[in-house]
Amino acid sequence: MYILEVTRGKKMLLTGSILIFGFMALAVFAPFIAPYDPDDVKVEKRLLPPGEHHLMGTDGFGRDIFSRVVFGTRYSLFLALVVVSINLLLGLMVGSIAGYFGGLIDELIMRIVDILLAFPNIILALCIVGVLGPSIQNLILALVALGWVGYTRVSRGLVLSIKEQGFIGAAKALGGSNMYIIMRHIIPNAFPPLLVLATLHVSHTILSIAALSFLGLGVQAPTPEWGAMLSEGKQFIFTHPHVMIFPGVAITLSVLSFNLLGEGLRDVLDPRAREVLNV
Amino acid sequence: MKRLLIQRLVSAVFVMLIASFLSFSLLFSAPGNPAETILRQQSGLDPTYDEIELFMKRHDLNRPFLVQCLQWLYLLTHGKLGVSLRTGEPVLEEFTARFGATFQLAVAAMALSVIIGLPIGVFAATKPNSLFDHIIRVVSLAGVSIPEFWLGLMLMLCFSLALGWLPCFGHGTVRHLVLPMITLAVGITASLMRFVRTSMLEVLNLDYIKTAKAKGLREVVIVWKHALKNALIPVVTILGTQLGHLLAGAVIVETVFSWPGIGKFFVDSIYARDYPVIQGFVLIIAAIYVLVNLLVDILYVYLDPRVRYEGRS
Repeated sequence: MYILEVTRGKKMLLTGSILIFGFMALAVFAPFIAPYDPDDVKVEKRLLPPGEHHLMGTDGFGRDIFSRVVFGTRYSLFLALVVVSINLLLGLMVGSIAGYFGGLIDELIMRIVDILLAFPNIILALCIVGVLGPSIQNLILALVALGWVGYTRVSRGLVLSIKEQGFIGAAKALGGSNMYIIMRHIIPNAFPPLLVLATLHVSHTILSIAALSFLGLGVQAPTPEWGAMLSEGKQFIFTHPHVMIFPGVAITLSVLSFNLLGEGLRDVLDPRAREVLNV
Repeated sequence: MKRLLIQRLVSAVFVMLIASFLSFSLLFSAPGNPAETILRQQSGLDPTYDEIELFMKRHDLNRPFLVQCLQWLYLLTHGKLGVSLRTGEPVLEEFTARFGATFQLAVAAMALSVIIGLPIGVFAATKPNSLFDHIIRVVSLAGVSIPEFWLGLMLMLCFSLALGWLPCFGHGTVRHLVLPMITLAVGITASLMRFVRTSMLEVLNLDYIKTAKAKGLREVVIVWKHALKNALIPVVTILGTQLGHLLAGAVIVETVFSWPGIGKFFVDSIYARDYPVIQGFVLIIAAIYVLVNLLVDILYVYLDPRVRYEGRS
């Protein structure tokens, strides 16, 4: 039974990795893959259905949708990875400090985390972007504002179990400073399970970015970001549905690939860490 | 139990205090002078220096930040959340007038998720690693991967435009409810399914289930009566956290389907920079969220006597 469990995990891991690799390749080699300039407006070619010259048709401004979808990977993947990395590093640092030192610092940090975890994060993100004005910086800020707390809680749990292990005691006995122990021993050991969390979080973040951009509160319209493309194409949904279909498929596939990878990683992770992640 | 309750209540009060502080400072974090922004909103023209001064004096905007903050808190305790800049109605009334529509949508979506997600989750757990289990796992992963707004539009395209079965906009009849309900339910159903499966698998490995099997009870009775009872306890907590999903989803789904609930009004207020509404709605939504989580915590202890609450472990 256990063997089955592992192979199943690996199948998801493999599918997810291949898909992500594909998206990464699209992002990196976008100028070579896209047949047209994604911002090239050609009024005479507007709203063409998918066909020989335009694989996914053209949008309301006559721009090639396939090229825009390809360039869109850059925005969605890059933004999501930036947001998740900031959250991960921030959460890991704060969580390690809380878990390692314990006592009053721990109590204080975890109280704040508990309070922040009680907030509905999309609502707050909407507010931040809505009040500060829509821009890429504010989008990142809004998604970081509450994003780090999840990592803090999980890394604290991991650190609590790591610091009881023998090698930490050994490092202390050898005279390692607190900072040294956190950086060299605690964080490297807490990292792998957090990576699983981060992978799953990338998919959430792609969805949030797309949703905010769709509402016109994230990446702004002429930019070939998938959510923004859907926002622009909304008016043509009943007359020219092809404008709406492909960017949505791209979002779903990219989110799915990170979900597959995260699930796959979770399956092959050691059970002790899995337990912490499930909290 | 008592200690837990007090601890939870205290932290709920704290959350609300911080929420009101945050929602208050939102206005100050906006670029530009809030008085200027509001005046421009109201008249559509650039206000003069005198007008700004007058407005600031009338609304006590030139007092120190902390004083204003306390004032806002004082008004809050009297249930005054200010007046919408767009409609001129009190924010609280705007909220209560629209809450019914959102509540209707949320309850319908939640009910649909439970009806579909629960049996499938249980069934998948009784046959772990079967073909059915694998399919369900992939389907639920796909379910949480589809963006809600896009799913809503695609359903509209399919059932309203192509098949003509259901109306795509509006509110009123049951037929109007179907598409937004399904859109909102897909993500929740997917995560509920997986959660029920995990929880059920854990319970099915416990000793009392083995005893029940040894006693010769039928599988159906063991699974659906004995095991489900215990497996459902953690599911209750998930329903609490799903409320956040539901609210966030409602914002998007309501906007897509023009559903006249709080979500749509909230997004419209953000577009119009209707600050009193944004502030007030964040606060009310946070309050509802905190309250539901508190209730879930209490319910959890009530349902599961094994739960020991000694702070965090």
